[in-house]
Amino acid sequence: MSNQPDLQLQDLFAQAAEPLGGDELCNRVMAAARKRKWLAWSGLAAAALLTVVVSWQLLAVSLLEFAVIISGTLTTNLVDLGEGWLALILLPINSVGGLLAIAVRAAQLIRRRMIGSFA
Amino acid sequence: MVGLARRGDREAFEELLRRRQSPVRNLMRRFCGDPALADDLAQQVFLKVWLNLRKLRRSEAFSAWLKQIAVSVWLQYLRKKDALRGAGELAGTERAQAAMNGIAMDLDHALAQLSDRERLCVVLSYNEGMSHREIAEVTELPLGTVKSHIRNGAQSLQTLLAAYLGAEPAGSAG
Repeated sequence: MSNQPDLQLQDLFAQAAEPLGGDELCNRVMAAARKRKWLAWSGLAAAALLTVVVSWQLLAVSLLEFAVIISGTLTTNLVDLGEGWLALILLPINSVGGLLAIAVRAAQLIRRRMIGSFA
Repeated sequence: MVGLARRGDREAFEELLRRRQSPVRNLMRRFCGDPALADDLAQQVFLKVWLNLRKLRRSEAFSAWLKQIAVSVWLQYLRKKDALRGAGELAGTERAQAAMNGIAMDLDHALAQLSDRERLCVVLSYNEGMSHREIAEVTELPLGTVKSHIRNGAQSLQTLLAAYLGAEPAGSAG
């Protein structure tokens, strides 16, 4: 048998094809397209919201941990003076924070002296 | 019109849809034999077209591309149907066929007697006028298999539709 199509059969297929009105299908397709678009935008909005919430939670926790570590470090005593009156008096300077404050103040004074000597 | 639709023009797409829906629905009717199911599948086809139209590089290739999507939607449907249960009971889909003309009904009934692949190849060849090579490309079947499916399917149809085909027995035509 050759590969040529049977013309009678081909004609039968042509006769079976009916012209169909397209309004209903058109409306259905466009409604489905709108629904798909709405779902896509909703999904995007939900994902964005989730990202913001999760980021906020992660950032908030890390900021809190950071604050705890910093405050713990700054209040660490340089010399263990016990719990007597001497410890209370020297508390502002007997800590990492106090040492840093003194160092910053000293650096400012030295800087002023140096700038003053050059002026 | 395809160019406008590709650029996201909704009205152009609607017009394109109106013009192309009838052939696609008829193609789907030949595939499945059920007008209601055919319309559902045609809806899926045009939704895919709408979602992927921007990916189409050349407007001239639209017709071939549309056929390819129609075939892929039909194959997807067959795969889903096979996953749920055994295939091949299209002859039982007589609901909603009252509105179809007699030839279409008898043709669809005869097509339902063919295997899924035979029906696919025969419909693409006789309904769409596609060459064997084009069918092999769009269905991803070997060329020899396509030829064999068309030959066997056409023979079966000639027997089943002998009343319409000048009462020639199977195998005598073509």
